[in-house]
Amino acid sequence: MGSKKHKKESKKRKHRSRSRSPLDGEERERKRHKKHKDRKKDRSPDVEEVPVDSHLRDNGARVRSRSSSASADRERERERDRRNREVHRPPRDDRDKSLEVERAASPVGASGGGGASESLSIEETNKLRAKLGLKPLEVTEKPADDGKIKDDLGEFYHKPASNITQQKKTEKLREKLEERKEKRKLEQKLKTTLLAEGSDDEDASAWVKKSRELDKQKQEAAKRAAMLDELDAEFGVGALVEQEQQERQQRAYSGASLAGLRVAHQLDQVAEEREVVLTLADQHVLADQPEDVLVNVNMLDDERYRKNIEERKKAKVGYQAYEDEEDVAAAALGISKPVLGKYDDELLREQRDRARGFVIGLHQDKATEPQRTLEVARRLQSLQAPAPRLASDYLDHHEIHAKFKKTKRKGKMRKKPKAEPIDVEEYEAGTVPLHTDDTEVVAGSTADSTALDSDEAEPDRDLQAALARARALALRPAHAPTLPKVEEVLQHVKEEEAVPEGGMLLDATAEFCRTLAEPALARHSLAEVESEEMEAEAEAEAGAWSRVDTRADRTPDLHAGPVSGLEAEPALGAGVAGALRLALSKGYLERAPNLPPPRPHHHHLLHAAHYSIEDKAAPEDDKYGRRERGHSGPLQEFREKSAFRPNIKLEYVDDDGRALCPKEAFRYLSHKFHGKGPGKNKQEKRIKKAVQEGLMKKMSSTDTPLGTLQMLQEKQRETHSAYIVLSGNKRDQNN
Amino acid sequence: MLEVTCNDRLGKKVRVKCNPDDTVGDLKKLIAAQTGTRYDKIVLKKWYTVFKDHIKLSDYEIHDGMNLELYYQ
Repeated sequence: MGSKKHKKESKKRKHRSRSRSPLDGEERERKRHKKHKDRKKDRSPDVEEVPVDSHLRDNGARVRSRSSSASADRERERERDRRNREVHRPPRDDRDKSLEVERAASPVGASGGGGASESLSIEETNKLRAKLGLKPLEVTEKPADDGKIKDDLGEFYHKPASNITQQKKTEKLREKLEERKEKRKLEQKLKTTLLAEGSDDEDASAWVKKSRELDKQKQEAAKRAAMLDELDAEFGVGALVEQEQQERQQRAYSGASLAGLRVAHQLDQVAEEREVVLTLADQHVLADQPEDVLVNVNMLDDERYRKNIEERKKAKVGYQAYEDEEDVAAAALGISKPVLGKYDDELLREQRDRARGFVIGLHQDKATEPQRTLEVARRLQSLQAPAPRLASDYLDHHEIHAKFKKTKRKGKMRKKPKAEPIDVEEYEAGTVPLHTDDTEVVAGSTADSTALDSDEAEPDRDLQAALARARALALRPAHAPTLPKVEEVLQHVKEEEAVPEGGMLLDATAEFCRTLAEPALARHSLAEVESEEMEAEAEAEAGAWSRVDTRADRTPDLHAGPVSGLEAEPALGAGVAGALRLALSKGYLERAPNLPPPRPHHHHLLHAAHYSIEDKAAPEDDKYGRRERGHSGPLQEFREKSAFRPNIKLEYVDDDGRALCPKEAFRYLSHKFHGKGPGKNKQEKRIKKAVQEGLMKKMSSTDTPLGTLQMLQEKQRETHSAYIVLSGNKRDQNN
Repeated sequence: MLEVTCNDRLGKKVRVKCNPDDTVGDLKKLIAAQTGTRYDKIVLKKWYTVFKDHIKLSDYEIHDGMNLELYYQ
């Protein structure tokens, strides 16, 4: 670009130099103005005065198409030529600044048919504006490209997106710097004078000198020591000194000096091990009265372990609202239970530790008083035996009143309702005999409840009570008959006596039988009754009082059985026959009417071999049998054929001889009957079906249609292996 | 300052520097100065909007780099 410009300028310069005469230039200018005036007479004066020189300089105008605005272009070119020849020109630098022609080679301009657009520089525009009476352009300096982007309305600045790569770079740099800093710090810290560096004697000679001096000093010291020893030996001081040293050593540390030291472990615990290494326990530096305590690390660990296990157990049990047996026992002895006792351990640990340990020299291990008493209580057993009692056969009133509570079932319950335990509150275990053993005769009150083992006591009590009740119930039926026997027998006898002999016995069965018998009886006795009535009338006629009829048959025979016409019941006792008879009499069984005896089944075997019905019927046929035969079959069944059971099977086959199912057979027959076969499609379908069926039948049930199983087996037989390898190429497999 | 491109599609295309608070009339005068046409013969349009002389460019929302259609009456 620059080179081009230079060329242009040089050309212009040449022009200028060529037409350098000022007069000539002025004249031309004037002429030009005149021409302009001629042409632009109708224009407004202010526009006329404007030096329109921006587009005159345009070189690109040459490219423009002339067809669009030929006249304007012509004029412009003319003007340009004139301009080129112009003499009066501002100095070059000045012109360069002011007349900067901006050429816009915008595609719109090129294609829009308007050509390249032209624009004035700011200064030129300002000049123009001044002439027009407008204020100069507000040239706001372009905002420094600080990465801030204004929005469309120019009101808000958008924060530019942070450049991630740059961020990473800076971070890396920072890290590096920090690392270096750290390194420097470390180096400074570690900067120590090395042995070799620190010593001044860097050269060998100095070192040798020094070492020699040291040697000399040592030798001198040894000499002096030897001399002193000699002196000691001379005066006999050596033995004294030795003795003194030994004494001092002995005095320094002995078992006695340990007296008064506290050991944090129990004495028996220490004693059971052979040799225990005790160390001084750690202590707070700021403790008020530091006391040295000896501990064994292993034992401490053991204790901690034990305690942990205990605590874990406690945690497993969880919160217990009610006091356990031990507490009860303690309360009985007058030891009050501490409130929130479980925290006492933590609070009083130090105290407890002190209490647990012992002091060397003082051999008294006294446990704390309450603990001691508790232990004693635990070991105590009451010697007071329960008072002996007589065993009774009868239920105690406690046992009688103790009842299982039955839950009321509402509807169907799938779950088995639990049997409620015996109400223990009502049931004082101490007072009731508990049959813990079958052989036990005397069951006194159980042992003292406090002495009872807590684990066994409660379930046992329930169990025992239940067992006792069950046993009593089981025994009762055995006892019962023995007791009321005499009375019952007596009463029984009385009752038997009370029943009059031959009297009528009225009971439900008899009544029932009577009602059944009544209709028959009515028929029977009607005649009798009538006759009786007649007699009675006759008697009535005779007088109010009648004689007693002494006829034997008229006396009511009460003893003869069921009063009115009923037979005596056959006794049931005599086996099946008796039973049958009874059944007959009661009407459970019906006596069959006289039946012919059953015919023997295989009677035809006895007949003659060559026997024909015709033979037998022949003589009759002659008369009238013949005409009847037409419409009536044989009067008798074919006796000789009675065993004949024909096995009839209707089989239909189609034209090809295939068996047809009933449906198909019907269709086949139907087609035949109507003389009209199925359509082509249907026939094809049927044929296809038949073919497939045939194939199916041919198909092996053990192998695939391709016979792969057989192939597989052959292959296995060849290779003598239970497998075949599927991979590999075909050739391999064939081999 | 903004620069507007005015194009009659007959061969004239000028770029004019102006202030946003100039009126359309002022712009026309500037265009007239650059193109050599009389300013009262110029009609400035954007699509079917004919810009009126007494209204400021900013009110028409004429921004930097916009193209205006240049017509003559």
